[in-house]
Amino acid sequence: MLNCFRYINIYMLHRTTLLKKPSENIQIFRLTSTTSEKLPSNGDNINIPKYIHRSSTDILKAISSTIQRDPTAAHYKYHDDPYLIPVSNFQKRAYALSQESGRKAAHWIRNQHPDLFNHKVAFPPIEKFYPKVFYDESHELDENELKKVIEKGVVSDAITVYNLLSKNGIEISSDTQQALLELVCFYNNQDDIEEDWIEERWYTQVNKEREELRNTWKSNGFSNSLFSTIKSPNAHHYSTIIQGMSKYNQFEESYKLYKEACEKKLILSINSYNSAIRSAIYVKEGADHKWLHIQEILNQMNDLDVPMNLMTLNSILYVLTTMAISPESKKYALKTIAEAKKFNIEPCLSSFYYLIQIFCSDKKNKSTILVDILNLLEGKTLNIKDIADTNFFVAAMENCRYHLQNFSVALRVHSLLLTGNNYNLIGNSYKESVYYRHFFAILCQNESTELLMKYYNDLVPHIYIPEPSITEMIVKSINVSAAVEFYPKLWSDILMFDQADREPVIVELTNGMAQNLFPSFEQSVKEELGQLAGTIYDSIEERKETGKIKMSWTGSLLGNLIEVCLFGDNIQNATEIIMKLKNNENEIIGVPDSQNITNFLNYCINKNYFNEILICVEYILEVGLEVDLDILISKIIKSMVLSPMQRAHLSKLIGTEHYVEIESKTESVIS
Amino acid sequence: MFADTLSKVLPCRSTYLIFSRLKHVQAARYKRSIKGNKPLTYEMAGPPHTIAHIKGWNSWNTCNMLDGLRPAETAIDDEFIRRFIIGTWHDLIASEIIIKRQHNIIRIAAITVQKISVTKMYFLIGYTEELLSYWLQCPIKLELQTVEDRSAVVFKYI
Repeated sequence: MLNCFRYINIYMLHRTTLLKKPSENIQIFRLTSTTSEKLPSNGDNINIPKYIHRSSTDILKAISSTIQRDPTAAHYKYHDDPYLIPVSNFQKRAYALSQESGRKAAHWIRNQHPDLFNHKVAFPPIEKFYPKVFYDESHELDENELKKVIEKGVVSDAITVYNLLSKNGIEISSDTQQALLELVCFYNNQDDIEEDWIEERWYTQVNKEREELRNTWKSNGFSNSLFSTIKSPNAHHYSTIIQGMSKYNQFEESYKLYKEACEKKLILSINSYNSAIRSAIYVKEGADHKWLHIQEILNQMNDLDVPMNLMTLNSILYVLTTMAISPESKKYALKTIAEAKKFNIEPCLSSFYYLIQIFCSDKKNKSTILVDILNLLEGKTLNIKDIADTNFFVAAMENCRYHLQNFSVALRVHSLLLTGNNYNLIGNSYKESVYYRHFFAILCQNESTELLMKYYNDLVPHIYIPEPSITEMIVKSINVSAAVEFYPKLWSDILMFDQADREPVIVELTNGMAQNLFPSFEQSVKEELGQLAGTIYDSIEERKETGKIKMSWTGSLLGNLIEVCLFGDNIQNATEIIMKLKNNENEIIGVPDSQNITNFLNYCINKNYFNEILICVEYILEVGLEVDLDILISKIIKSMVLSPMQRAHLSKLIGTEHYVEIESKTESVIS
Repeated sequence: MFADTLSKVLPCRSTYLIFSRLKHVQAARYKRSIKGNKPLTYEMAGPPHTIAHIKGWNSWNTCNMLDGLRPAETAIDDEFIRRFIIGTWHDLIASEIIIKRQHNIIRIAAITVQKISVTKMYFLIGYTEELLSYWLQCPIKLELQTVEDRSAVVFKYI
């Protein structure tokens, strides 16, 4: 087909050239003929490249590798519509889980009415689309069915089928029994969250973290009873149950079984030795005992000719992290790594994670082990080899923040994360946000605002939404460098992330704004700032009315806002704030700085705003602010032309006698 | 009437042509209301002969081409999808439902009204995609756009 098109094209080309100019036509023919002549001369040493096996999705991967992340777009799991794009952490979680919950509802309906979904449209049939099979006594079951269920990895079904089979007195082969034991031990007798529920996995692992060290093994569960039905368990059975128990932190039992197997002189699988090494954390106390325990098991492995693997290395390092206070642990760790090198074992990310923990537990003696690790890893595409691999990036970034306090190292960690498919190793949503929390903290502490905002614009809000503490740090960083141009963007983000009720953030922001008012700014910047202060006041006020924000105003906060408003000639909002101060005296904590109020009065005198002056003077008198009112009044009399009505108002406010006194003084000065 | 007069002037073959045009002159054309306040979307405003000129098709597939597969089943499936979505997204769909088939994927596009909360909308998206893919046994993707109000999709009033 393609060839055919090419011929047509060539033909067309020739025809058009023929129509145009005969001379060109000849040239083209000559060109083609020369190339065809040259080909056979090279023909002697044609090297046919080796066939590269491509999978069916390779072309898609190649195409997708040409596309980079678009920082202005939300994750593709969200619908690309302004109404449907999440803008805060809460929304991100809620939307993703809502969609999954909808999918679950559909799943439920399919399982409620399995008879309706048995039609077969797809060819070849896709099992995922058919309703789940429920096993009960009416089924005619045999061992093959059990094998199928085990293959699918559905624990509850496997247990039901096994029970039904044993009820009917059907014997199963030892291979199947072993497979079943492996399945139930791996999943601790219960169904795991199905692979389809991606979001649930992404968001719920936060809770799993807390369970990390708790014994969650189902004692008296199916796996224990299955194990006890085996009359003379062999090494495989022992290995399986030991690994299962230690996976769910039932170390005492697993260690007992390990001892039992050792007495029977069984050669266990390498991973059960690894599990036994891990049990040192619970079975033994004190650094020396733990190390002896490890050595004992390693010697045993040596005697039985079981070579160590990557998991052995990780297990030892894991035990060493729990005794990191002991100075010996570092020595042991290096020894273990050296030993692993002899076996040609490359440490994986989790080994490095443990190393960071071991070497950087001491806050006084700073270790730069992370830099060495980065030298090793830089530019490599990493694969997951151990479940703990996902802890590495968070730990590395945390190390950069607290231990090394070095942004260039943090940047190297970040670039490693962005290499190849390494981003898959970030773990889950919780770890991702902790990672970026540390990253931004280092940025705020050590780097210029321009760089900070470069990363901010790239990562916020679609990848990371700063927590209030980080927002405060960002505001502080902007305050320090007086980068006033970023205030409007930051404020709109604070509103969007629902952080306008965080008092420290607001206080920091308004303080910073009030401190960074330089008369040298251009008029447009000044006006923008003034408007922004007004917007801040308005939007907080609006949210307070609807009950979204419970924070109460403080005098100094409002004083700062007045200051910024005046700076940008936003007299309207400034007056509004003065009115607010005057009317809600009891709700507002403290009073504004007297300097702010004096500035307001001076501004009004210059611009000839008499009504605003009256309100302000009234407020000053009510609260008894420490403002030298006499000087200000005399200034008013001096520089403003007051109508008799206005004079009467003013004198009524401050007391007629006092007013006359000031007036006469001022006049005497003038004359 | 017009055809009658013409048939007298023109030979028989031409009459046949004109009849064929008269036959479909009523279908998919909206009747003018008395007050002239009947809202039409852009898609509704164009009569059928403007398809591929000023508007597109509502179903995109290759079933009706030469050697196309499952033409009848596809038509039924499309109708099922439309009814399912209109019923599931009750009172929320403000436009025609466009069904696009590519390989084994069905993409369903529509405009919805922002009447329910975003989380509910995501719930419905997940539910629709999953249930339809169980029914039609292929991946389904919804491509929704939202509008604040139905009046946003009105192209003209007749």
